[in-house]
Amino acid sequence: MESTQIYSRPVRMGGYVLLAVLSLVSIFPLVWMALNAFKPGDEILYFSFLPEHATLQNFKDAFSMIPLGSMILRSFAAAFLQMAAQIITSVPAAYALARWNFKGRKLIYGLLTISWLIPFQATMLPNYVRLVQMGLRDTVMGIVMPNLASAFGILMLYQSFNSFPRTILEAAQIDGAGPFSTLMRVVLPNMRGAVASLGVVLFINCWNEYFWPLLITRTIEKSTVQIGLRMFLSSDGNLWGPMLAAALISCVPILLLYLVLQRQIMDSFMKSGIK
Amino acid sequence: MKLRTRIFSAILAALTLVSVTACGQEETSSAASSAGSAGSSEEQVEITFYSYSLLNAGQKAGTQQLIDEFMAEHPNIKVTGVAVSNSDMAARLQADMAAGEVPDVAQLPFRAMDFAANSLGAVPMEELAGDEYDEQFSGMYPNGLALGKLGDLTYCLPFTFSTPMLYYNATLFESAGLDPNDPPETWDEVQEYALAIKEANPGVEGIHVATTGPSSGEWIAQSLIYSNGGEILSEDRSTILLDNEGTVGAMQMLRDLAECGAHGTLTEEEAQEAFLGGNLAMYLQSSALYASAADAAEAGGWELRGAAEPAFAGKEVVPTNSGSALFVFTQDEAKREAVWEFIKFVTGERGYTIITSEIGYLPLRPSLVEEGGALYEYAQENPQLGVNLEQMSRMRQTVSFPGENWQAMSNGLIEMIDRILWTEDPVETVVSEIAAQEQALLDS
Amino acid sequence: MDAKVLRSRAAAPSFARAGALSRKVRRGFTPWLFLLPALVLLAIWVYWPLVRTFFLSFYSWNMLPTTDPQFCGLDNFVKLLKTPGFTDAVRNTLIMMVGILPFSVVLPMAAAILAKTISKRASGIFRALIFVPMIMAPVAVAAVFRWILHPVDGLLNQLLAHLGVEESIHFLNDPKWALGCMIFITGWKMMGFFTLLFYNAVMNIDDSYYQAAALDGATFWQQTVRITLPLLSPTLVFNTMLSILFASSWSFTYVDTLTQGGPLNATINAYYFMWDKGFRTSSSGLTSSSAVVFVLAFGIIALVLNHIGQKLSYYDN
Repeated sequence: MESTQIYSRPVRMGGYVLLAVLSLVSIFPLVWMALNAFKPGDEILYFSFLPEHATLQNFKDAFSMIPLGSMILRSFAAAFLQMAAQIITSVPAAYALARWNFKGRKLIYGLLTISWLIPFQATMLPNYVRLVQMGLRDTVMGIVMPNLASAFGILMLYQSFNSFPRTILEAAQIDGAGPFSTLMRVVLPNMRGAVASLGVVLFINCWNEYFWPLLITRTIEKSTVQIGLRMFLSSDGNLWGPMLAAALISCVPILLLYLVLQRQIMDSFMKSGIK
Repeated sequence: MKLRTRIFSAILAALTLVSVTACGQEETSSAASSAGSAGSSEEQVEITFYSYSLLNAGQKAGTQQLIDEFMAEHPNIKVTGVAVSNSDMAARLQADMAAGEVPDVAQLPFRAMDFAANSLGAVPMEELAGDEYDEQFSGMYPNGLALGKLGDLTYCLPFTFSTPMLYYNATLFESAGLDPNDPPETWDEVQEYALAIKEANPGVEGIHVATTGPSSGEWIAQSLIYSNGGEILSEDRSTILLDNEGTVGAMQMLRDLAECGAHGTLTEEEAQEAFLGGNLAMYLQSSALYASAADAAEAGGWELRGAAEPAFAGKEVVPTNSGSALFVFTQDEAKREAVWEFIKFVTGERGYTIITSEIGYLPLRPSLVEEGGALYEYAQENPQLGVNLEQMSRMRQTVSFPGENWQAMSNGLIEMIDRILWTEDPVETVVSEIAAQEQALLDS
Repeated sequence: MDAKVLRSRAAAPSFARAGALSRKVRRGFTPWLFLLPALVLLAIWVYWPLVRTFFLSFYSWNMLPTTDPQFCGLDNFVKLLKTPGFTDAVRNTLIMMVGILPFSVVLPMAAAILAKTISKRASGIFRALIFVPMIMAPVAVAAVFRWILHPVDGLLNQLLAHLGVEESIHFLNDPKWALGCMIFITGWKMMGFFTLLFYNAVMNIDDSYYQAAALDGATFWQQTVRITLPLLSPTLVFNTMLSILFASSWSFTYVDTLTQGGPLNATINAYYFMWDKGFRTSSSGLTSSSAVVFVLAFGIIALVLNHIGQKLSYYDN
């Protein structure tokens, strides 16, 4: 089932070297951040690598100075909801674009391409006014509402649906099922990898959002974790220790999600391999 | 499989429904919020207080304490603190006003005063206070009160308020054989000291003047210009006066500092980190940084001192102000009464006591730091407070630029400093080009 | 007309062909049903506000409900061109578009192709590590890089000092370096994302091609050039487009927290320009006119790339 090919030693060595170097470069800032999160007070400013007197004080401060726990929960709720809604709206839309060559398809494709380029500032004010009138200020729904559909998601999935192996498609044709069940029974199971990857990315997009939640929330208790992180930074002095501690904690939910979904991604390759 | 398909289509339908209802609901609820006005002071009144200190982890607790103590004293008034970002405050206010939500009272930077008064329709304190105006403000520094004046009317009251301060690292002074008890008083001395310290400590920077980025604002630049006899805006607020000898001289001083290496090439944030990390000898910055700097010095094992802003030889320093002030926007009679109570509390003795001891800004009531005042002991323990309050008598209002382009004009001053420090363009050219650019922004 | 339709179908040949039978029957209605939820939502939250922005770009207004917008023709666009920093923003945006490519295309593609050659376990760990920058909060990333790049005692300058570089480099405050730093940080952050996309595409390639090639005695290099690269071409084109169009918006947080567009506009880009000169200064005219200009410019770039992409893409069918 797996790729049975054995690659030559130089090729594998090259693979190990490149991936190891990229991994090191990628991981270093996180390690640096983690180490600094354990440094007491202003030891952070003194550019040593390892903490001299490791402490948990920054974590305690992070939780006492901002409502970090509830912020993470709200961020998670918002990101999860938004991701789920975007996946649910993107999958059929991308499928429609990839499957049928209907009249207006090009126009839709063009419209979608344009809309993923639209800067948030261009739509922010009218959307804000509308959400305030709907009474959604200071709510998770308010954060999620303008982003229930994602042109980016549709185009990404369209891309994957297009490079779908043909053999599997033909197998699906024989089935003779309606378009909806073809999507659900044949395409989606095989596209789990692509959908899961997109899910991770859409989740992270929402998780890292700062300006829109800042506008739509009023109280700190109902803010998201990115707002919390910035609360430690100001021109009157930055509180690096608690900020890094909070940032480190805020990585955990995304990391877990990635690990869970990576399994999905791997599984889907194995399945399509069998088929 | 069938079930899954059905669930899927149900969700699709629900989503579509949500988005459609979202559309239709638009016109309903805005009327509800403005109801429930008029009434005597016994009735429950709710006011919103927009504050960027609430969005600052280090100042949130003190600001909330102000609100809580006020509400304990006035059980019939409920203050809802709304946390907003400082750098995007104007945009936030406009967004809320577009949504029909006017903040009752808001903490804004001083540079937004003209915008708040003329574009957002801030209520002058004279109108709000009526007969109580003189009584309430008599105990304040007259210069402090003047900071909120535009023409004859007081549009805002200093809330968290700070002045320029020359922080210096006494340990680095000693390493270069300089006496930390004798800090530089003029810019010539600053240059001399900076070079001596750099010579004795390779890798250390000499001086940084905090005017080099939007995060620090342009207010210290304004102070430098005034202190050298320059002017920025004409009294009738229609002409930019920047292109004058005073400004050119002040900018030439900065250029000299940069050219001889006394002033380092650091971004604002880098400079702050370098100073807190003990790698920058002198730092002209807001007095509000004191608490962070004191902590950093203690942790790093060096000694922090503070002195007044340095002078141009033979001239008197004219400090300007930074920080924020309280502006009132509500049009509702009952809310105005409640807001006035809130302002009386915040700018009263208890208010400034909390602002100074818990949030780290300056008390605008001299009696507080005198013997018997609530902050007397605090002032004894924090000698830098005296340095700052001493500057009050010479304080001049930071210009809040008029017109639609007020923020672009503020940024123009920062651009001027950047070009002075990081390019070799002739000083006169830079000043006159910026002056022309500012005039164009003012006229358009 | 027919030729055009055919060409447009080149982007979607496998599905379009597979659905040939049912197409006539369901033509018109079914695709729209599938598209409906997404389109309705986008219309409400994106297209309608965009239309409004487009009209506002011809009006002068301070965004306050107490004042009325005044029609001013093309004044906003003239003003936009004269706003200090506009040409810098355009130039820097173009530089970023190209500068980001090594991080979004070259390295991730090499990593994804080579990841297949090593053990599954090692590849999974490496890919997870390369993905790590994606999970870090942008503001924390900015903070960490500020320390690494700090001119006085930052890690990089310490390292350079050991290597014999005497003058410390002011990475973030030297116009020669600052934009490069923004590109690096942005690219570093997004590399894991692109590696994930390329890896998915590599794994989707039917293994039988390689088995056949291996039987013919093709080397790894020959397999890569003849099989992998052509079949990766749609992903390659798509990722190139994605990174070119989004480079400036992805870099926003770093520009905002590290340089604020400075020194002397060396790091200002389209997205930051719109924010700083338009939104932050609450000028409806500048916000909307710059949004219109940039959406149009990016839209044209997208269409051109799309056109080139359809010619370059090679599909497995």
